[in-house]
Amino acid sequence: MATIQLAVSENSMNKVLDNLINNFHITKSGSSTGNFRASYNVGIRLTGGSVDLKNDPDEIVLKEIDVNWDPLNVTLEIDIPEICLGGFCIFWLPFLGCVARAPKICLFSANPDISIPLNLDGLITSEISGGFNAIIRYKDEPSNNSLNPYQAYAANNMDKWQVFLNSRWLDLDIIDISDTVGNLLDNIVDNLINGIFGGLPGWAKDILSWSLHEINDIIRGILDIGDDIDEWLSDLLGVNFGLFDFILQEVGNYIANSYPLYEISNPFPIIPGANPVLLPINSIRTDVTNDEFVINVDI
Amino acid sequence: MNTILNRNLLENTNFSSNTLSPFSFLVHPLAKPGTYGIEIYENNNLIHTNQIISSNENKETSLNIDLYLPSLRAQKGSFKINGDHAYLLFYNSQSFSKNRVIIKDKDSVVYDSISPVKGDLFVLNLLKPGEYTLNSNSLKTSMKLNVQYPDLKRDKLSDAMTRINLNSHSIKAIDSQSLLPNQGVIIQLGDGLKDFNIEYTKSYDKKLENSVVNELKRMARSGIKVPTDRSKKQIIKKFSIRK
Repeated sequence: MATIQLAVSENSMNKVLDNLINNFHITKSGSSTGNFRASYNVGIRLTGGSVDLKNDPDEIVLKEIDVNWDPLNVTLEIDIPEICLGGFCIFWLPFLGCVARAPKICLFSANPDISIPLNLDGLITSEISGGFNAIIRYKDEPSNNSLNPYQAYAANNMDKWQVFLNSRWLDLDIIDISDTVGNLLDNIVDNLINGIFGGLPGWAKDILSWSLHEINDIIRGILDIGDDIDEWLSDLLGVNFGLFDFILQEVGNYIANSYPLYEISNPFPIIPGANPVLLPINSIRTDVTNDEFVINVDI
Repeated sequence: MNTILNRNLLENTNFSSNTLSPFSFLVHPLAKPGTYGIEIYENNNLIHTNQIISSNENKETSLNIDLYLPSLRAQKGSFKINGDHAYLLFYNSQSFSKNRVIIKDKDSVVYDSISPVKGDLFVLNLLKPGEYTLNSNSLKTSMKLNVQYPDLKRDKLSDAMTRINLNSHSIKAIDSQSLLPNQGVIIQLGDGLKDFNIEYTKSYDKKLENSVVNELKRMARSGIKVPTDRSKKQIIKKFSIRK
């Protein structure tokens, strides 16, 4: 059995990668089930990246593919505790304590739910890298079952040997969270105060905010923000929303199933044209060196 | 969510000794146990009648009676209060209203809110920062109440829990009194003090607006680490899938 070797350089592989990832686009929306309610609407595109071929064991590494979050919108839903004014003791007697107390005037008839929309576009810089092995699949075209190979060739409907990439490992690295993440807190405080005291004059917002000036503790307590907002944000997206796992799964599935890296018609038209010479291919195998991706075609 | 406090209520900054509102209350102690009739008037129209039963069978030493008509109508049965210590507090939870309250023992009037007596209290909760002028015709004097613009660092919320007590003597003796927003002012009526008006006479410095909110933002940021010295390509967090 003779073997034909097709060698693909890293540069060529990079072009194939470009075509592959530029077509990737997913969107997802959902909500969390953590300590507080939050919903999200996210879109992901991929750009950039490079291919690194590795021998022993054979592995095709896709490196540092930029993840573009567009959009990345999060809406936090916060239950504000009851906020009341007054309630102070007017008249106090020894042994009896407070015998007359001012009425509590509460700001709301019920615990209010405040929605805080956060636009996180451009806040996070992240990359995906992954290690893949090549897998061979045979695509048997059912529509050519009644055709002989020449008729299938004429109809451009031949069976194919296909090379796909199958992920061994995938990493999503958060490599930067913009310093403007601090603005998130301003945004949360502003939205909270406007949400609770919307329509009131500025002085009233100040007085009422002062009256409950543990509002920062309320925000941090409800949202469970510790002292590291980077950690909180990555936990929100990665753990509460499960977005990072979702993205890795989607990227792995997309690369493994959407498009073959290469495909070879079987039989192969070694001399194409109106009177083609077709060469049956028994099998194909792949090999990875440090410089090339090799497809061994057994005829 | 239904907002109870609206802008109009907060912007209303003028009070008189017969203005009842979410922020101004009248307190009258009943002198002795008994069953009393109560008549409530609004703008000189009788709007509600009921009974007050003051008896030691009842443990509550104070009754907050909301003169807002739907609240009065929602009252089921008589008002009940302790016999030895019985403080009736009248207010209006929804509006600034000119109310008159008359309490009768059979046919004789034992209390008329337009003629306060020693022991009656008028309680104020001033929210809007600025200068207020208290004028009393009966005392023929006036004084200033200066509600400070709060500062998150300087003014503790607990400071506002200390009440300010004023009576006919202190109103004559002092020119002005400083206080914090939401700090209770208790005016002891009687001893010649039968009436007063409080007007908002000088506003605060407009530049202060949003100072508390801005300070809250600074506090929020200062309590949270926002790294600024990351090296390029430093991985902050890694999520992995291995097969």
